[in-house]
Amino acid sequence: MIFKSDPLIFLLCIFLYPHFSLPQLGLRINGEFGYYKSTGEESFKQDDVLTRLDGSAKYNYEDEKRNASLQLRGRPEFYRFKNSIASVKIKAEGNFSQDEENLIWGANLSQQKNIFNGRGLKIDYDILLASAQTQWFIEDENSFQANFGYAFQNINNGGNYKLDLFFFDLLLLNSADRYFKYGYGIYVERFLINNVLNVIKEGLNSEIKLMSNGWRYGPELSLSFLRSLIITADYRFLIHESKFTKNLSYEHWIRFVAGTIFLNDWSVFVLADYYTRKFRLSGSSIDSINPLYTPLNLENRVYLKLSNTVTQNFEVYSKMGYFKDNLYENELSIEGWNLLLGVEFNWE
Amino acid sequence: MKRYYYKIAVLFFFNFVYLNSQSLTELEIKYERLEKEYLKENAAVDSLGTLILRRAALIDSEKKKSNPDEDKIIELMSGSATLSNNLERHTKRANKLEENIEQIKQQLYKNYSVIIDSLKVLISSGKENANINSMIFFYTEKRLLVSPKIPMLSFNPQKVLKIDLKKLKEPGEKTLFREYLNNALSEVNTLLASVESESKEIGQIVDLEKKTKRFLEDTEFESGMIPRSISRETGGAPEDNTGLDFLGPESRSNDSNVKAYNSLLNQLNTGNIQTPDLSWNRPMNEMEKSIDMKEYQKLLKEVKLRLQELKLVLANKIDIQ
Repeated sequence: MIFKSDPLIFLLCIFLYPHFSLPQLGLRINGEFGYYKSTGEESFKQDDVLTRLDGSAKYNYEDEKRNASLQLRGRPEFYRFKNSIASVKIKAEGNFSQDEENLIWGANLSQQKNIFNGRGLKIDYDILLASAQTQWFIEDENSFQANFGYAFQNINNGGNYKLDLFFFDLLLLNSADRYFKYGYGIYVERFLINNVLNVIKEGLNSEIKLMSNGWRYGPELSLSFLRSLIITADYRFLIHESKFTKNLSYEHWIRFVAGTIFLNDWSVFVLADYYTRKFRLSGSSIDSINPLYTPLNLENRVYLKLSNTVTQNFEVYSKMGYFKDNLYENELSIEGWNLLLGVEFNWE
Repeated sequence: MKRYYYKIAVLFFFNFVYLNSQSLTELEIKYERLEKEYLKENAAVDSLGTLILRRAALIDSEKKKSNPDEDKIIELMSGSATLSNNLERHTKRANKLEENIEQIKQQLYKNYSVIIDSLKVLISSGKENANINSMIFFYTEKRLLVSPKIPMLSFNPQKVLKIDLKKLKEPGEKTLFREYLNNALSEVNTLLASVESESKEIGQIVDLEKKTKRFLEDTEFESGMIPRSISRETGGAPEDNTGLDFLGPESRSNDSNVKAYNSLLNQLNTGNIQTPDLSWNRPMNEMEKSIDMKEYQKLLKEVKLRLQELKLVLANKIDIQ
């Protein structure tokens, strides 16, 4: 790991921040209950009642030119009441942005810790993200947007999977009219994989160390319409290069988001992510294992949320989610869905 | 010199992007066609409105007769209903056309601005000649024709506020000034309606954007039994977490409405109306850069507040007498 932070730092920052005042503090508490089902091998095959709590506190400072925020979020989840599996997610995040003439720049730092425990399963993973971005307005509503940063992911699941990422993307954003915007640009990423796997070899436990460095790069497109209805679509085509893959190995990623507020108090949102890839393996595998890129993130999913704002501080909602992950060279897939009812209290 | 080449390259790139998205000539032809259609529809609305008024007067006069002709009244009324339907249809068409025309005007305004800016860059890079100057004038003239309407008051609020009908002795003078105040009030009401409509739309956009961002944050944080959403969080830029970076951390707007409402606010800044602390305080020269939607919302709120106060003062001035 190249850089490490701690959520406690953010907690301290919240209390020591010089401009702290109560009206700028936002709180949100969610409670959700519903049904969860997943298919897959062994422990991944689940069919449970799911109870979830989610709480977040956000401190926001804003003046004419600056915006800074610190947020702490925690989410415990319980699958079934007896012999349960529990998971906890904690995320701390700090953002800063400054508005200059025809330019906005900003920086973000976040760390997320995830623990998943029960019924013989023990997985924990950390994600750290440090990034900076700038948006430069050139002509009317046309702008260049550049983002660069570093991310680290560490997964412990018997073995240890580490991933360091350095990324950069540049988008040219245009407005066709007041409501419709489009953008196009490039995305470049350098990744470093460092995995340690525990395997049984000839009846003995042994460790295999796998390392891989590579690049992902390619064009990206964005479309957005925002009026009484929001529709956004993003597309990335990335060429994938590493010593374990041959040319031409590539990935497609499409995201579609739509939503609207109707009858004053109701809102509905949908998100769909579609990911597919075609990797040509180079034959450089170690013990028949190819340390390919982030083996647990290749998912297709659809999320739907219907909510009703009862009062300014209280909302009831229903959520439905479907996901399908293709793991380890598409040899294993996990599929699942959930249906939840929830309430939200917020003071913002 | 390098700087100029760079500027020229950037501006011509934008030219390419803009002018290729929809040909300028096509837009101009469409604009002319829609303008003609709009004038035709508007003429139909005017003549139908006059006909309906005439019929209403005829019905009234027939009703007032000592022995009204019921058949004639029924015939006139049924004719009026058909006319009303036609009027409604033509009004709808005219409104739709007006909306389309405004959109095309905005696009043309942008396209002309890009061309003018590119030509100006050419001049500043030392390529000055009469041809370029005449092109700048040509496109400036065209841009003026499609410049958006600025919702300004036709009267000076400061002068209107000084009118005191109680102090006027001459009945003729009093009637004249009352009429003037009534006209001012009606103008303020019209502007208030347009500010309220704009404010409602922007409020809706801000709410929708906020809710969408929250929905996306939740879906990213959601990872069920296995870590699923890492790529988007680590593989993208920070705002990529929400996927809405494209809309901007806050959507920004520098369309002509912002400048127009800022001008209106300056005009309303009479100093005579008691107003609590204004949250919007931005000089006109700063309006050249884009502002975010939240700031625009603030501006509209201030304009609305000022207009409401002016309305109250005007209504009181008229009523008291």
